[in-house]
Amino acid sequence: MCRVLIVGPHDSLDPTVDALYSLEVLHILDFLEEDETFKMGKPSAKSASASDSLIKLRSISSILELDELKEKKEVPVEGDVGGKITSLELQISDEDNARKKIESRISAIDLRIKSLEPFSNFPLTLELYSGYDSLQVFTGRVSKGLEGLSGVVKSFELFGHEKFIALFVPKGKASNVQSFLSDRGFVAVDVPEGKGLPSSIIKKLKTEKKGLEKRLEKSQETLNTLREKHAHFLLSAEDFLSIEVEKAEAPLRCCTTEHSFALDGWIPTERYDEVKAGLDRIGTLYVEKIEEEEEESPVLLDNPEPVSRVEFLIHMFSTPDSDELDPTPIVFFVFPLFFGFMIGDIGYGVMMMVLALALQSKLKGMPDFRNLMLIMFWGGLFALFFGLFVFGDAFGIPIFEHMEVQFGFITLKFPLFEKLHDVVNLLLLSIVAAFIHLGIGYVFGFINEVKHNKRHALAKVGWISVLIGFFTLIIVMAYMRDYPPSVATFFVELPQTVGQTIGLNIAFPADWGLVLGGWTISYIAIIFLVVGIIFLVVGEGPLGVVETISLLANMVSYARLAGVAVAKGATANAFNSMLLPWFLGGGIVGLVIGGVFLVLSHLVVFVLGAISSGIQAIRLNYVEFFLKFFKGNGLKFKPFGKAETVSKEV
Amino acid sequence: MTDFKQAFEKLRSALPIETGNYPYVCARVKAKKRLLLAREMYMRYLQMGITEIARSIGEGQYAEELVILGTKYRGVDLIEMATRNNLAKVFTQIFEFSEGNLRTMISRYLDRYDVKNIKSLLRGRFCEATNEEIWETIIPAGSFTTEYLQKLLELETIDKIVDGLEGTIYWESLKQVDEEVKESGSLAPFEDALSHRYYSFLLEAVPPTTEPNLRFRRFIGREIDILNLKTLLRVRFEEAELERDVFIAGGLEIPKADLNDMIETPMNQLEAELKGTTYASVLLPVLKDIEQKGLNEAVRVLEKFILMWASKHSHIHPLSILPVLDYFARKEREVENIRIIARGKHEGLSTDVIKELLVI
Amino acid sequence: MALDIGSGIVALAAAIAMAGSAMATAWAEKVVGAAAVGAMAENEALFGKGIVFMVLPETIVLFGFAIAFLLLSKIT
Repeated sequence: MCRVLIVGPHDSLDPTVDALYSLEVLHILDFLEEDETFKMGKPSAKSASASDSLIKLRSISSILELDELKEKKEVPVEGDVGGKITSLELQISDEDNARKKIESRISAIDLRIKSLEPFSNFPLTLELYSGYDSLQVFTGRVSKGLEGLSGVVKSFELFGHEKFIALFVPKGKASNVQSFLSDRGFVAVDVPEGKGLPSSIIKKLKTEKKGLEKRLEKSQETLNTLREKHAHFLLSAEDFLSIEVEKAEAPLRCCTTEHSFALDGWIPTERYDEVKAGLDRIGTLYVEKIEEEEEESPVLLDNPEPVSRVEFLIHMFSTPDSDELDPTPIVFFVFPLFFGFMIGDIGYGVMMMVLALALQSKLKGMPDFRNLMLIMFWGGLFALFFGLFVFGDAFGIPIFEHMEVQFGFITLKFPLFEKLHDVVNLLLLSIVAAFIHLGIGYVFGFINEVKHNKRHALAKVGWISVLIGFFTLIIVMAYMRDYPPSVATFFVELPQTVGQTIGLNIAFPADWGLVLGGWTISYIAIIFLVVGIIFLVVGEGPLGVVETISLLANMVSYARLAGVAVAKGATANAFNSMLLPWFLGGGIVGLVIGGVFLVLSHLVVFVLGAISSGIQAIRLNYVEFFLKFFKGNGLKFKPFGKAETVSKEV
Repeated sequence: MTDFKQAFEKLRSALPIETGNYPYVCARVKAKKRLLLAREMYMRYLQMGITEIARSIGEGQYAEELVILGTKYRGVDLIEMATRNNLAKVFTQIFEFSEGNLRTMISRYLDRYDVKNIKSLLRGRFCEATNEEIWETIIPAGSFTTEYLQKLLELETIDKIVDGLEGTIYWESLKQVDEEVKESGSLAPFEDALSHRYYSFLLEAVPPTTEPNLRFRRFIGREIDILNLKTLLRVRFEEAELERDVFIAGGLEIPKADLNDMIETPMNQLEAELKGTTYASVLLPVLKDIEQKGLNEAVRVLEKFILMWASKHSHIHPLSILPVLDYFARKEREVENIRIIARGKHEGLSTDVIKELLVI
Repeated sequence: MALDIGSGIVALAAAIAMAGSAMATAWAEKVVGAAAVGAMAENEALFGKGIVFMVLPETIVLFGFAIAFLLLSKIT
């Protein structure tokens, strides 16, 4: 990145903006500090009318529900765009208002019908319910029958008897009747306003509603035709106008004086000459590179395909600062590795790959989602690898029973580990993963810090030493048990094996340690820990000592790799042992029903496994790995140009 | 059984435990706070025209409102309607996703919009404004639904509006001062009664059991102080005769009794009495010029004081009602600022004059 | 496999370690998760940060898991 300053007279601002817009390389630094001489520019004249059109356009787009449109076709936008939009707006908003009016009338009719319906069974017009001097009228719902009413009042007239009633009684007896009714769960319902027989009013309203519904349909049809006719124009016009506005408002980001303007920003260094050549064509401009610390520059992650596909995972956490290492390549490799380890099954791995391929071709319009599918494919490949060579599992079914294969002079047992029986080894493998992953994290941290703070860099060295200490401690503790797990044996004997091939006789002194309650605490581990802690105290102060525990917590945290792998294997295994006998031994019925259940249960394991493995794998990167070196909060490189303007809308 | 329940309720309200989904609400409100306009956006708006401002706010928080209103309104009206509807929508939304006692506190706090709306309706009828004019001042962010407010708007006289409020908590208080309004021919008794009712109802909902709640009560107390001070200045400035109880009880630093005395005291003694309060630092400098410059400056500094206080205290208890209050205050301020810019542009004021009016 | 009383107590201890840490994690994640969902409801870009905070308490259960595992290794 290099910082450039572009200065010129006011009348060359427009061509400059046009040129920069089409180049799409300048990340503009907005001008903020106004004072007497240096002012923020004013938007150019085009901006007001384009803004006006855009407001209208967005409104009508929403009326026409354009966001539900599946595909977008570029249509040339020319001529009097504002005029076209205004006339479209008139048509569409008129039609929309008409439609809304009809809709609200229909719902009013529905309400009215609902209020009239209870009265429609009585042969009384609405006027007859009120206006008496000597009569009290009760209308409403009751929950019980009205037996015994004649005991309360002698002369009365009752319509309806269950649920809904209309009761006419003399005024003098009204309070008695009231209490009689309330004992029977009476809830008063007001008589609707109006005149005439309820049933005939309802009839009239229903015919009116039918007419309105027809008009509504017609109105909707008109809107649909308008939509079909103008949708692509509107979408293209929105892009066109957004670009127009973005350009017209560029002066707001410039510093201006009475006669000139200045634009300040960053461009990728390798494209500087191209920009300079493009701007020199305008003539009256003065373009210069400013010497500036790269620290403040915006960041454009620049990885080759297909590594760049996982950049979005990094941005989702935070954009790296300009002088930080970009962790994308590590994540690109580690994420699918962890994911694959946790799934670790041939069947699920293949399913994942097929699914990812199938979905990828369907989702052309969503770049982030496509990238996710690529990672899923990549993860599926690793799962297949682990399933084949390490766990020997296909849908939880072991495929090789203790097979031995001779590779040259090495004999390999298959499966390397059995998910359900080698839990200790799997846990140790998780610790190995923690050791390597966190180690890379600290190395990155060292490289990041060494540039500005030597003491912090020293602390990172201390951390590496503590990490080695913890790792040695755990491995030796496991190795010195009565039945050493093979992973521990491998690492303890590694120096010896390596030594033999180059003709040296070295061995790791695993038994040199303090024995405590059956566990061996290696002195070598203690040496690494002590040295590391000394470095930490120098680099980060005495609190660093307490922090070492958090590193142990981080290492234990990787046990989730083993945890998820075992849990998934166990679930698949449980379903298999329940359903497989049924499937194989139950005749046709068993074959069908057992088969259906088997497919369903494995689908559940697959989906849950994919989700939890995905989340856990990303977590190990975000929390354990990134926090060792990654501060983030960088500024994402956003070049002034079409891609940025148009994508902003979404 | 009910005794048991009452005893339980009493016990629960005495414990320093609050019910409510604080983590969710506070995180969400914090995220909303980040969407508020930054200072540089106001600077840009000062350079833009009205349609450009409308378009620009329509690309952020106000998108939904702009889309709905874009074909119906133009210019300043569009901005005013959109900001008002958005404020009402956002505040109602916060109320709706809150739970427990937090919900009660938020709803009682937002009842201030009911009070404001009733006052606008009464005042509108009093000065014979048209329904459209009155409707523009209504902000449906309180507990009254838009339909209910529209129904109240349809009522032709002040009496009918008061009767229309039957069933709300304000009806009784309004009825009590009905006679007084008729005699004095001024709406002030109604307005005071509404404020009294509002604050006593609000304080009821905030049990002084937890530290943040105590702060909230202090915030309300300050608000009452400031309202009382504003009333005091107005009364002194206008040299009005007082026969009623105009001050609201529950102020934090200035008790009601003192306020009644302060009406009569001479200026230098008043200054001395205010010196002991926290308001002295902001109020005393402007109090000197009050005779020449009028009340507005004094009212503005007092209002700014309470906003600053709210934002200062919002960080102390991140999971409490305080960040929510701070957001309410900031959002109101944002809407007010956008409207000032739009209205200022409409009236043709210069950029510098508008800038002076903003509170950023 | 018959277990003696001592092994039974150790097994119980492992169960308590697991259950206690799992409940603690659940409670902590409830709080953090609610906040994360709240923040995401306003701004989807906070997903990354949200997930980081959301899963932080999981480490508690892993401690429980490790302790339970060490305890169980005493039985055999």
